[in-house]
Amino acid sequence: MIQRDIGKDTQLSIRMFITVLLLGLVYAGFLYFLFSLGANMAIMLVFAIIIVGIQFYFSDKMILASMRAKVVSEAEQPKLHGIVTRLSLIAGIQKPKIAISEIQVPNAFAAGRSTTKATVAVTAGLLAVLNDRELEAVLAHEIIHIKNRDVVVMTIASFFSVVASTLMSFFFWMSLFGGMGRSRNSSAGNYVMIAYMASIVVWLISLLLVSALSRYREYSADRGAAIITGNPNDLVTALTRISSTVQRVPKDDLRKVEKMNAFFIIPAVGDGIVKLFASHPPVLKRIEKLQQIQQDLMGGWSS
Amino acid sequence: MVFLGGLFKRQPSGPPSFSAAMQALSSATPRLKDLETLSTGVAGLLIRDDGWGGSEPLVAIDRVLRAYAPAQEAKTQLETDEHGYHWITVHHQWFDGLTAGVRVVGEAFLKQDYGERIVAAVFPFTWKGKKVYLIYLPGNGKFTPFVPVSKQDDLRDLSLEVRVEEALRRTIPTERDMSQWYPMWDMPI
Repeated sequence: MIQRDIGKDTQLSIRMFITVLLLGLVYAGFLYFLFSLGANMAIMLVFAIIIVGIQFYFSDKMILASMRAKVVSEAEQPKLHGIVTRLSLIAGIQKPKIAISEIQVPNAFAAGRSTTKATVAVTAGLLAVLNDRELEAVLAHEIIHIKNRDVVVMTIASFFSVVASTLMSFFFWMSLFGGMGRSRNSSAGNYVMIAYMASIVVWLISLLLVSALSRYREYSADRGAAIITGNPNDLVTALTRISSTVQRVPKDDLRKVEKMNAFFIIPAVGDGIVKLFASHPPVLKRIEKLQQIQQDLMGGWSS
Repeated sequence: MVFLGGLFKRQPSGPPSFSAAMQALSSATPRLKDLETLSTGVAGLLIRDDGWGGSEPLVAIDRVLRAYAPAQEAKTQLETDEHGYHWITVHHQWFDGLTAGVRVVGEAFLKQDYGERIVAAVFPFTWKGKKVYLIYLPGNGKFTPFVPVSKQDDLRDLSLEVRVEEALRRTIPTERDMSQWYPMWDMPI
């Protein structure tokens, strides 16, 4: 049996469940509110479903195009294809297509609406920064995203968030133009105002929950990657390398910079709010969890 | 001491003085020990040379060292690195003695109006075989971490650096903005 059981992080599963439950409650409340406002809302909802559906169907092509990524053949990139073939076999999914983006920022992503129509993409920057084992760890992370159907999960989870934000801007313009020419009717004005407020609240809460869910899916993909490669440390060094490039930990020696005299003028910015809305967990937290998995794995082997 | 550290932080006026920072650092030892980070018994002051020229800086530094170091029972040494910066290294068995030694040498510089020449005070520690540096910059009054892994690959242990910073931020003024965490490779300490 070549497939590996990637085990479970019970705490993470519970958190995911609670997040989805809360999201469901918020969305149900929002739906109830929309329908209580009347038939117009139902039509708008159908319209939104169609738009999101089309976006979802073409999401992989749109993402690949926006990242300037091109699908590469086995002849062009035998090494990448070799790694992905092996990892997909272990993960038990059909081998996805592979694309390379010309972007120099190290990054990788998975696209596609199903496990059979998936693409993994890496940027030129990633290929330049990582060694083979780290590259394998990052690709494993993306392959677990495909196995976990994260594109579908996140599209569905964020659907009403998208609807709420669309309604929000709609109501905003409506209130600007005086409720469709019925500005003297104060009850219509109130109704637009309430709907606008409700949309903002739903949008904010759902964004928080969707971001949290996204972070849990990332931990989950990290865990899966650590287990199918059998080496959490490779992903740790990959993450460290990527983050030190992306977060711009300075490369220049202190003495060199000091000579230039351009020194210590950038103030630190508070990041509490940013963290709540982040789609990815902080690298440090991911590394801590991976180190825990490493310990668990070692414990498992010795006992 | 933690209480005092809190008082220091609340002062609105500029960065804390060199002496205050050294005092705060000596009270940060318990936190460093929680991380199992141990002092290497040495610290260094990085001194800028520009404008002095010739042998004058070395003579001046030497004068400072002779006047102040023996009284602190700390051994001191003078070196010049490949970047043309001078290093005063202070050796002391105990971390308290080390911070006191660095403080005294620093104060001596300040007294002679050479205070601006101090670019950094560097304290190396070990953590599970790795070297962990705490770099204090009097210019902005903050400590930054630096854990070198490989100079060739430009690789540092960022996760450990973050842990160090988070462990110390309540005790000493640390720089939280990573874009200010400048590396210093091949230090003589």
